[in-house]
Amino acid sequence: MCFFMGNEGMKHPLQDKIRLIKRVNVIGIVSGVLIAAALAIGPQPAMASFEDGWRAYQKGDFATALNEWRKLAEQGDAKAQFNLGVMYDEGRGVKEDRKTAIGWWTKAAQGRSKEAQHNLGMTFLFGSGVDINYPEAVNWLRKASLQGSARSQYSLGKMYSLGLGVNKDNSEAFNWIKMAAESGIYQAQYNLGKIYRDGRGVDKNIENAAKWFLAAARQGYAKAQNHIGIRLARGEGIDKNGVEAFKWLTLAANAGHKLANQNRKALMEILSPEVRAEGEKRARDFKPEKWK
Amino acid sequence: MYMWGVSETVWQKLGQKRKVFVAVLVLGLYGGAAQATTPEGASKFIDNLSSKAFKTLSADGTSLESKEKGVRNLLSDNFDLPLIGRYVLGSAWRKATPDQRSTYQSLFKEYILRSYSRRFGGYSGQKFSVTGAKPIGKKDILVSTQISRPSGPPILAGWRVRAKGASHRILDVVVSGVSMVVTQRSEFRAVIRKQGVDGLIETLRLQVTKFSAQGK
Repeated sequence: MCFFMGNEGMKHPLQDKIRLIKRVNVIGIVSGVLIAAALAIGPQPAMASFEDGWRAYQKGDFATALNEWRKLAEQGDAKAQFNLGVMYDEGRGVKEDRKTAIGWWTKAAQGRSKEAQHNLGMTFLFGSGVDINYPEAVNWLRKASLQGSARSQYSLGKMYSLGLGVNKDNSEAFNWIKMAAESGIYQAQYNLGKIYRDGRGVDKNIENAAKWFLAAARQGYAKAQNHIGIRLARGEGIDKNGVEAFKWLTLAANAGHKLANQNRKALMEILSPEVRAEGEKRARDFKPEKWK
Repeated sequence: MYMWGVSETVWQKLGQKRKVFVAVLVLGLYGGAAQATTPEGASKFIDNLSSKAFKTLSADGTSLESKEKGVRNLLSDNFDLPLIGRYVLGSAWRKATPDQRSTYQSLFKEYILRSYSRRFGGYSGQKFSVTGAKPIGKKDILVSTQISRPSGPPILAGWRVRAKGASHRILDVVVSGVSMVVTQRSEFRAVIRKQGVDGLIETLRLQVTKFSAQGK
């Protein structure tokens, strides 16, 4: 997925088992390591089969992928259950069947797959194959959020700010959206900028507002580029800088943002030709940065 | 002499050469607009498009994700997404503000390209053939195709095609008798009924965050 590349830490499938082993701790560390090694070797055939499925999937050989993953899914492998759900949801190699997708995702979600929990949240939010059910959407998004899925945290934050499936709660919205913003979700960064600007659920802070608009602008988000452009032009929460203001407004206007285009025209009247030229040059050289 | 829409006096003021120029221009535009969608033209269009798609999909050594990006570009160039987007929004389109419309259209484009490129992304090594074409509605042609798979019965898909400029655009895909555009419209209607157009916009924004299949 090219859209959200947050720092979503992947949990190793053996983590739980290893933790268990640590608790046992009878024969000492050496034997613990040995058992862990044995466990790692144990599920080898299953892993190989998952890998075969993945390779086939990448080649577009969905029949093989379905076959491999179905076997694992029936044995309770959450990752295989999740992928099988995706294949039914997206109609890959099978007839699109949202109900079956939901069935597999529910199994995977109960097995703590945060991807399945997130997708179930989205399914209940949109009512694809089920009736729209906001409390249920919130329930799954919360589970995925607690496991560190940044895009789920953003969605959950939005549910709180809109009061969908939960009572409207600006302070909860702020907490979740901030978490997602810090992981690099650019929409969350933009939203956090607005939250600080308006003081919703947190004290108003124009420096923080500018900081987060800038973060999302750097990732190439036109709406945020318009906001940071205005702030740089006025020196609001950030040092006044005509060149940078013109750069961001030019970028946002080029991306088709109508308001940014108007703001850019207004700014043109007060900037010198040199400042405008430098701003335009920087806009041409701009490349969206990945959040680190 | 009276030209359509051009007043007598203006027409008379034009010199002979200019008269010829205007007439050619008008006929040219008229000819362009009147270009009808023929079953042959539409079939050829779909056939060409499928060859391009299969070339993209059978590229060796590229990930499924990058293949799907290729398909996505093809879809973006050949689907009339603004028209589909407007249709799918139904009666809510007329009531939407210009801002809502433009935000919705860009999100809808993203949403639809994603789901369609996934749908068609995985058909490498399979046979695609045009099996027929017939007029549908006043301006369109429905091109029937068959996608044969190594396992399982073939997929029958219909493509609703309309002439646009010098080429064609796809308006809808019908799989097993179900129109994707009509299905989409009813899904959107349910969301709009609950949350209005702004709610639909928010939902579309979140919807593109769904996870796809994961490797280990």
